[in-house]
Amino acid sequence: MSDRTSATLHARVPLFTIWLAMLVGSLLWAGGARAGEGAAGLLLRVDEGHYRPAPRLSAILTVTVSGPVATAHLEQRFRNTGDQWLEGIYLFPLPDDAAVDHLTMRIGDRLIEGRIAERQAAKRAYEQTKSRGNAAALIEGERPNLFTASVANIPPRADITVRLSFQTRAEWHGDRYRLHLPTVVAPRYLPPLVIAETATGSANSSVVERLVDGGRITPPIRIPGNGNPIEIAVTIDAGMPLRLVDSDSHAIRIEEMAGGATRVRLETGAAPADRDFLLAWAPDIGAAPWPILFDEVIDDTRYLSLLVMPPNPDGVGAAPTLPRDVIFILDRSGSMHGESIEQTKTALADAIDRLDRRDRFNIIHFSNTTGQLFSAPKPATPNNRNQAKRLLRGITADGGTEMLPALRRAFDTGAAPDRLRQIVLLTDGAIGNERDVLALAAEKLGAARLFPVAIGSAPNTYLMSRLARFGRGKVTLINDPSQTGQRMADLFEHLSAPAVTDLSVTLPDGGGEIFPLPIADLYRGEPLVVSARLAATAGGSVQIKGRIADQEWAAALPLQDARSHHGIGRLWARDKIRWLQERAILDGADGLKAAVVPIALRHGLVTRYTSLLAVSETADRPPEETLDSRRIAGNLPKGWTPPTASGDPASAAPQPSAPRMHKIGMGRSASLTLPKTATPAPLWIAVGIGVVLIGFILLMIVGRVRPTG
Amino acid sequence: MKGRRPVVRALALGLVFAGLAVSARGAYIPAKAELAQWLIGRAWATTRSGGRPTAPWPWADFQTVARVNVPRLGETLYVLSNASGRSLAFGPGLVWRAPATMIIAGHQDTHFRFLDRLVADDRIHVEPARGAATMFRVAERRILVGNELPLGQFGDRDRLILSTCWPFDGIAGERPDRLLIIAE
Repeated sequence: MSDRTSATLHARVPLFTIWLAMLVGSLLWAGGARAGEGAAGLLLRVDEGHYRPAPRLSAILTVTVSGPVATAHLEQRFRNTGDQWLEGIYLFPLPDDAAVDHLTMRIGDRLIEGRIAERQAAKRAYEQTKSRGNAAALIEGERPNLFTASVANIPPRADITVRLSFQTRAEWHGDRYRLHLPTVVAPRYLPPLVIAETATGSANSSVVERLVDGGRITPPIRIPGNGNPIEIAVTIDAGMPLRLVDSDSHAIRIEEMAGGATRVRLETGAAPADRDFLLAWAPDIGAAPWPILFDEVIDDTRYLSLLVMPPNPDGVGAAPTLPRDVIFILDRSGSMHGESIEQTKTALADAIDRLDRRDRFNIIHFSNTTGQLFSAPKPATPNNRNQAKRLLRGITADGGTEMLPALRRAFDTGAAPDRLRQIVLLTDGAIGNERDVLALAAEKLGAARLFPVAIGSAPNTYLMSRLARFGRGKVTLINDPSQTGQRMADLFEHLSAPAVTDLSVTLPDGGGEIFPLPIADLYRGEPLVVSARLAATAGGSVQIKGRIADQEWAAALPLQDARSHHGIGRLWARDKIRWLQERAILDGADGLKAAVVPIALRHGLVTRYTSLLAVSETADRPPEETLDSRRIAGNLPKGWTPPTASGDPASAAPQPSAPRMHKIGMGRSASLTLPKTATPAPLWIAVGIGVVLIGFILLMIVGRVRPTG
Repeated sequence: MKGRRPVVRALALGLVFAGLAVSARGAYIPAKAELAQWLIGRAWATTRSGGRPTAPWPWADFQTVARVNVPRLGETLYVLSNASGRSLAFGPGLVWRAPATMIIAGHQDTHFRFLDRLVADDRIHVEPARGAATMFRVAERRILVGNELPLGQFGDRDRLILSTCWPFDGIAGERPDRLLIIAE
């Protein structure tokens, strides 16, 4: 017995040494000893080196609404509180369809009119004026809804005010108008995949260039976020009493004006620019404002903006709807892995339950391979629904994202003429060949309507919104996978009630340009909104045709009923430029600038290629004084968690438990979660070696023991 | 005693094989990481020589967006378009690119092991899929406590941030912090 023990010990001692050595070896393999002396004490910190105040900004937004058209003036006052001459740069948002067309700059008692110019030329002129010491203001378009104001040579303890004008439209929802005026730029999550966008841009775009651009549209953030006060005043000139005026975003004060107008102001006068201003109003019941036709004649051209509500069949019970063919395309690629795919599967099963018995459906699913439920759409019978659910249960997310073959299959299945064909595409859009996908959609979609549903925190909204436009559908963005069920239920509810399809608008002179192009279907409660251009001499009516269920619907709007309204031409120009930008994805971006610039210059619009510039002719800053340039921080949108200045949990201020970013829905957290980047490889290797060694030890024990035993 | 010996022997052999299997599984991760980079490099060469963007293998769920090169350490890595757990097994992934900042994350025990060896002024070349390369210089090395990187604190200058898990010494368990290499 003692013999055996000592034999074992003898064997164990060297083996243990080897084992330990190997374990240490694998530890070293795992990356060596902790480097950095006290490095863990270094925290991210705010750069506090050389603090000089940026100009203080305050703004006044004055809006006049007439029918659906809102004319707005935004006055931004850049106040220099220091002793240095300053340049202030401020990034600010405007509504998506804002047509920015006019700029004036006020310095002291001088008033300087701005002019529109090509972007590069305007930038050069601004820089020259700036270095000469003259006051200058420049408005540049970064995105259709993001603009930069640069104001140079603000004198010490004085201010410069820039005032710019824009037009936008109020939207009609259900029974009321809604106006959405953004005041704050959300820190953007720029999904890496937007890089693919550059494939259609200039040939020398690069990751790094996109980065620079990313810098332009990501402002510094002010903490605490209660600066940049903005005053808002909206005058609603409905020409009739209003039944309702309401804001979901701010406390408001409502005044009746002489002449039937209503004025709305913020209860507090001014509020920090930290959330969008939402205003809703409704005319008195029975005084439905339809149809609305505005025009503006510029030289020999008449511009039109029209709003028509199709007859509402609500009075006669459920509206007869067209039977549908619904094709669901489900992305089951690896990037959908996790909550995305699970939520999508559940929502899809619900959608299938929601189908009418007259409807037919099919499911096409893809990763790098494509599969489908039925070879052709089948009626939504209980049996077929169950078959669909069985298929969904078996689907897991893995593999690449080959969207083209799946779309081809969906587009190729023959369309039935007496049915409305809806294609619902459920994907995160993580693909690189956007252009091929869009080209295919434009070419093959035919009469089908396409409804992309973008899932996940970084969906490719660029691709999705364009697909929706080509497919006369709508895009649904789902940032937070836990909302998938609700958002998709809303969408499918909406899809089940098409009110008017196959809409067309004909102008009296037969030609003209009408936007949007193509015109999307209307769903219940939606009006038709169109802008058009025609010869000023043409008379007659605008003809509207469409189909309500299986009935033809037509309406005529005589041109002489049009109310003249300033800014209608610019709204048309804005719509046309947007259309050109969408076309560029198919036709290539080569001609885009050449097409956009003349329209923008003619209508005085700020675009990606044109800027508004105001320069002072008098030298303000003496040559011996230097100029400091400061970006003006934006507020963090209300409800977002401010980024902690240090990662130390003890020093971090208590955080509001409000959901981050998802609340607003356009971006992501102001802090970024860095992914886990350790693999279990070293652990497995170490454990494996350990187990092998234990096995060897046992073998040796057994081997050694045999001769003595 | 005699009767139990074959059992022990079988058990011991079983342990040896099980251990080998586990080690192999562990070794598979760095092997996969290396092989994937090699395949991606081939696809990259095709793309750069004017071809259409090519996937390194047919079922790849990412694109290659940049090549990162550290001349002093002789490291060349291909950066993938996303930093999901699946992609990171094949190469470092692009996490963010704003404000003027590109953030790349990689596995600390495969592709980004060399991060610990970077010192100030090391050059890092970033060559995007299209266009000219940019050179960054390592400016700073920081440890981020936790994994939440606050944004909006970076200035207007172009920056490259390489991120990996910290600390480097463990073989198992949580690595809650991040090592950040900041290059300008």
